[in-house]
Amino acid sequence: MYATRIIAQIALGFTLLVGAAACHGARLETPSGFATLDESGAYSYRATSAKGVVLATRTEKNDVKANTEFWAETLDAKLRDRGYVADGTRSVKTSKGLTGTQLRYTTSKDGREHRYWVTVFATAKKVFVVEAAGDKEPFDKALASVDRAIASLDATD
Amino acid sequence: MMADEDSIPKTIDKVIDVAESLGGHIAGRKDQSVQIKVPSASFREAMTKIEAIGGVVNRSVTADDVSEEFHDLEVRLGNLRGTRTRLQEFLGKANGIQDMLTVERELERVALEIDRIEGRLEFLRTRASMSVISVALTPKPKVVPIVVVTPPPPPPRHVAVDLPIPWVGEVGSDPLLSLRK
Repeated sequence: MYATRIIAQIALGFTLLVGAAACHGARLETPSGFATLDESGAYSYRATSAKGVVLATRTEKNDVKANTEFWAETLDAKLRDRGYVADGTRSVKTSKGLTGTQLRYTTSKDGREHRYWVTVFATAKKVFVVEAAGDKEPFDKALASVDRAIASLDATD
Repeated sequence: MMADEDSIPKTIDKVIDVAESLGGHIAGRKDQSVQIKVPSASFREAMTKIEAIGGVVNRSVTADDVSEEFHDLEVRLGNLRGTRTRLQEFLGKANGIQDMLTVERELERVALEIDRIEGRLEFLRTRASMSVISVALTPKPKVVPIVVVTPPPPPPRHVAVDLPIPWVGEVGSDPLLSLRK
């Protein structure tokens, strides 16, 4: 009886541990030349290159049960309203089969042109937002790494 | 008078028409002015008709009193004619060529003076019978349209649903690129 109780407690602890691990939020495979930052704020993952190209993910609850199209349109309207100039939209599929919408913008920061990409993936319970930004020149040089990192999105519902 | 720059020649023609319709004539014409003579009796009518053409900004009427000069000239003319008559009588009675030449020279001088005074009197008579009207035309200043430049309308706002979800408004490059916590 005592042994059974111990086993049950171990099983419960293991279950809680697995649950906690599942709630770590969306992450990316950090590209070569990038450093992963320890995040505890709005981002569930963030990494930066030495030249300031930054990758990050947000993991949010899909409280309104909306699809990817809804979130993409909502973010697009918000960003344009704040002066972001749209460069285009494309569909993105991660290596794990999650389909999202990528919105690409050019913006100005301290008189310099910046790239800003936001890729949104919506599931039944979560919204995963992958952001990438940086000074135009280093960003363009890191395009392949950025694309690969976005495709590596590891997100669980 | 003020007239549109393009219509100044036509306005001058109208002024000349006024003169001719009243028995007067043109006395001079330039690009932007005209001088006409009209019978003195029609002076008022001429002024009224010119004003009816329009654009009269100001007018000035001056009159020269020539009656005193006219009277003096008539007196002098009478005297010279009397002198001429007496000289002609002397010429008939002259003895010798020297006397005749002297009287004839004097007759010639008197005749020239009579001609001069008669010419002046004729000029004064004509001048008294005709009034001179000078019309100067000034182009109307061109009306420059006032162009009100209105700033272009602001670009249309991208209407976004104002969701009660804070993170939607936080997405952007600024917080992303701010690496310091």
